[in-house]
Amino acid sequence: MDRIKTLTGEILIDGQKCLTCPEKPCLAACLPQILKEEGGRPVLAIPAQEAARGKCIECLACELDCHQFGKGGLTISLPLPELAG
Amino acid sequence: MAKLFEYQAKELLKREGIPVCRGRTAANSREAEEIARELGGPVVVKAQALVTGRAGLGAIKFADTPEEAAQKAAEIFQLNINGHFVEKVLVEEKKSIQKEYFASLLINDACRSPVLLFSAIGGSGIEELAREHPDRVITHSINVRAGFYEFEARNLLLRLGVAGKELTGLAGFLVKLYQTARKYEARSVEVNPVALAADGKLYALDGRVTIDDNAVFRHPELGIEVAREFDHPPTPLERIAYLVEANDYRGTFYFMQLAMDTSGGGYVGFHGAGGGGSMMAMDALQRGGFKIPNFVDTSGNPPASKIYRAAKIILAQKNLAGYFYSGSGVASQEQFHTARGLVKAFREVNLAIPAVIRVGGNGEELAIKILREYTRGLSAPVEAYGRDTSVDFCVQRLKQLINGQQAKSAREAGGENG
Repeated sequence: MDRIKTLTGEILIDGQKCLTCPEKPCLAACLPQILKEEGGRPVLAIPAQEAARGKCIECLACELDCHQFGKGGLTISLPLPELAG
Repeated sequence: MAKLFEYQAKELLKREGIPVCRGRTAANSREAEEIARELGGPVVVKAQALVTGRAGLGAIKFADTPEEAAQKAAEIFQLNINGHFVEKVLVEEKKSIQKEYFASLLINDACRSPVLLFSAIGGSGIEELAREHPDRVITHSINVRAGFYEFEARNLLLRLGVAGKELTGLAGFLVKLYQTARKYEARSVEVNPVALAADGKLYALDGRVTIDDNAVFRHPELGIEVAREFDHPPTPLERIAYLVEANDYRGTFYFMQLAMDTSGGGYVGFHGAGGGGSMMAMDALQRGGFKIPNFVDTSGNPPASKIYRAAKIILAQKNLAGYFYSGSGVASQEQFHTARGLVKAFREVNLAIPAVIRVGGNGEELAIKILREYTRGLSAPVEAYGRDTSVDFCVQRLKQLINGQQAKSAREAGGENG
């Protein structure tokens, strides 16, 4: 599983599923255009640090289109804060 | 704004030199009895609740003996104030009062300065008093750069006819009140009543301090966990929501629970966007016969991730019959972010209650398309509308969807039984 840090979460990419996805709808959906295809799977087109600092705007478009039109290989994990104690 | 409990407010006043009555807090009636015994005389037992009018709610009681203090505290711990039980009582020595005054200092946005309000008459209803007896009330705008000094306070008090030792004592009291507000960056500090006791001293018999939300981070010593103006201690969901907002500067997210007990049906998870639009939508829901367990506002063009977290928190409430989102209709925020955040949340929980979403503003056509197309296959229907559809119509649609779903469930249950 590939992991890309975003400002408040993580993009999780299951490369095996993506290899079976011919359309890669995540790439077209990405509003800030920070994803590109490499070796049959989506990867970051910008330095990871920039994505983590907010270049990935967490618009969720990649995940929604992946699950709607693709193979469901890309999911964004957005945990809710945990309470101390 | 973050409200402090009376005992916390009094601690701040005490640090700045304002006399307060001897006493401390108790978490149960046994502790209240012990404190009353230590104080050795008549005491007052006061619920620590973030509401006004406690005396009328039976949340302030007097006791002459330690045993009576325990009994009164036990009665107060049984009280349910706005859906919350009292967790602490303040047990203080009872003072013999000769005279009462009112003093407050609040940030007046219209004046762009702190404004001191003082009345020679204490007690509730200061607003009415100011209208009926303007000669008994002084208001004074303070220049924060220049500060506020005793000679100014004395000149103000002289206008009300205060003289002698009271003049000196009250002037010092008002200056310390200002210093308290300044030091802790309070939006308001109120003491009602300021009591002249039989021992000749002035005491803060009550204390209310509200800290500016934006200053809370500069005052870790206050231990404010959630910088919101709630009338109750923050609930677990409110604490989670506050952390979401604290950890993400993009857009704003405000969450407040209005009802803790949602049994009885008719509760709709509410999600508003923009203050005015939210109020309009909440009114419409109530006109439609629904009950609202929470207030939520996501504004300022928040990212989809923040909308998603807001929706997940709303949906974590129990016994919801439906989900309703409505904004002002002319929001400048990108509504497709709203749509995607909602869709992700609805998909993750496989939404089992009908939802009606009214998105108005930039990109609303795309938002409606996303909401309609990407939620097909969920257990419950999701309908989306734009600014041209009235809020009342959307409420009626939600009602029809909920009724339809309940009728379907009843039929299915009947079929299984038959």
